[in-house]
Amino acid sequence: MSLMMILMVLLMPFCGAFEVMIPLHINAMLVGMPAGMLSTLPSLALFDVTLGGTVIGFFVALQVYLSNKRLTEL
Amino acid sequence: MKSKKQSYDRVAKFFDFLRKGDMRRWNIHQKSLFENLSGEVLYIGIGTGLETVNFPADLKITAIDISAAMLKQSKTRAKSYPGKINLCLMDAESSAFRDHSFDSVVTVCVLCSVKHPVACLEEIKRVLKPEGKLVMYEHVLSKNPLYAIALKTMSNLTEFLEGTYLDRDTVCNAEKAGFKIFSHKNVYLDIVKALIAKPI
Repeated sequence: MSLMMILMVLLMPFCGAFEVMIPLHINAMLVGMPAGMLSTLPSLALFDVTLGGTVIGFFVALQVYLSNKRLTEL
Repeated sequence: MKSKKQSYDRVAKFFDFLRKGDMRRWNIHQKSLFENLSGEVLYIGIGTGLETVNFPADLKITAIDISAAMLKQSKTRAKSYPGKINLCLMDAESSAFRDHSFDSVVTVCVLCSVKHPVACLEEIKRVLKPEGKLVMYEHVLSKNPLYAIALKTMSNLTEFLEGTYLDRDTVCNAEKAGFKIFSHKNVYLDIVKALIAKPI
């Protein structure tokens, strides 16, 4: 969550408030928290957790992009 | 919580920097929305005047804002507008204008900041001519629950920092205040909207 806030403050002036806020929030909720919990399991390597988080994060960002395209074309 | 005036006076210095990203993306949408403006125009919440570049030329605009610091910053931009902009320090919820004084009223991210949005819209209806237009460029609460959670969470923070709410239903509020929305366009997801309404 704190990483999300830092990223938001840094990216907002360049990319726009909502364009940054929505994908970052969803990523923090759906990817960041489970990844944080999984990283505490000794059987899972940090690299695997990071890689999994990155892949899911990419799909979340893609979903927001496609959703925006659909909603703004109406 | 700080008063709106205090909050906006405080953010006036770095307001342009914070809105830089939004303006880059919003300019084109605002230009096409503001083409609908005509006659005597009331611009509510001019802020630092960032949006003045998107207005069509030769309009007679009365621009109001609650923050003196914001109005001070907007002076240069108001002067360079190819038309006429009169700046006034005034609260949108209780303006000093006579009934039916304006042909068009513009709000850009104002109805997310005022304390009582329906009361503000009723005040707009009072000063707007019966055949006039209300042109709104506003952000609202998304109908998508996933986006709505993000907005509601952030709203607590923005409300505390600068008195801005991210969970307002401006379309519904406009209808409650006696407006009929006749043009509705999504600019970003179903959060940032370009709306045109008429009093009924």
